[in-house]
Amino acid sequence: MLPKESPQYTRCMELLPLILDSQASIEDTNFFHQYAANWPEVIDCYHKEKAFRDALKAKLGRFVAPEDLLINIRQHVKLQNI
Amino acid sequence: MAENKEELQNTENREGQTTETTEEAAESRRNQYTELEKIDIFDNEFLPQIDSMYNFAYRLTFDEDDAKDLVQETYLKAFRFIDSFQRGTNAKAWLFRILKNSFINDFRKKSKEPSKVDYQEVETYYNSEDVDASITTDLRVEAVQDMIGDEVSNALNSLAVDFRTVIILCDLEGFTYEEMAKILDIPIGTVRSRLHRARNLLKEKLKSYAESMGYQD
Repeated sequence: MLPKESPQYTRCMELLPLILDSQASIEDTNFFHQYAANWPEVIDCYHKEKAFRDALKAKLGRFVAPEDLLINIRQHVKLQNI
Repeated sequence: MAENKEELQNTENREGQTTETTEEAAESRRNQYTELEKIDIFDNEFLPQIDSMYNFAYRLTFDEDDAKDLVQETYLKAFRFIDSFQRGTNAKAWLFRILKNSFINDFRKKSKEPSKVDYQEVETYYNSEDVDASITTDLRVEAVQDMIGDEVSNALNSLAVDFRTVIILCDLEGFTYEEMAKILDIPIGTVRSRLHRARNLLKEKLKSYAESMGYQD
């Protein structure tokens, strides 16, 4: 078990949001998965943040474009193109 | 992607908004599509994005008619300046940038929404590399899962538009930091810091609601 003062801990915490947003490089992702398990709080933070993002996405849902919008756009573009 | 950003800027130049590239440079990168190619790009690359565009527009305007107008205006601009679009590049990001600029230049002025929040001070701090190792509002996930969509939407809607926008682009639309930086015309570091701040603000708002529901840390 590595101490919290280790540079690996700091790096894992820096990488956490990038990992969660799927923005980390392959090397950084490998680094995170290699070291994160050393600290339960990092893993806990990862799971909480991931669950928050998933819940947010699920709760917010999506508004779908009304059908008449597509029709209107096509009509306007047709007129613009004449 | 860099090319795409320049194309986006070219579009904005013709709209008279931003002027980061010269007219000569813009002309040299302009495509000359045939009418059939234009229709093909419009139908196959632009129109499939209509649901995402409407979702973004609705979450910016909170009004169905305004959202429809904003999306329609965006598509008409996109068609008018289609020669500035590089075929095969990221059409969704290109369209989102036009929509975002249309919202700022037209709709926000009309609605007289308060201007951007002053988060310069916050961003200066949050731009540091070790920002993510600190300050994170904790929130019981079960609390969010027990909330209904309206409550989460209300919390999101109460954020300043710039914070709301980064959450929509990242968490709902799945844009990368790099794409968001191009859409919003801000550095990647600012995208990260703004996103971090926006999520914490959202958690704080949801935390208050969770506590009113009986959840405690």
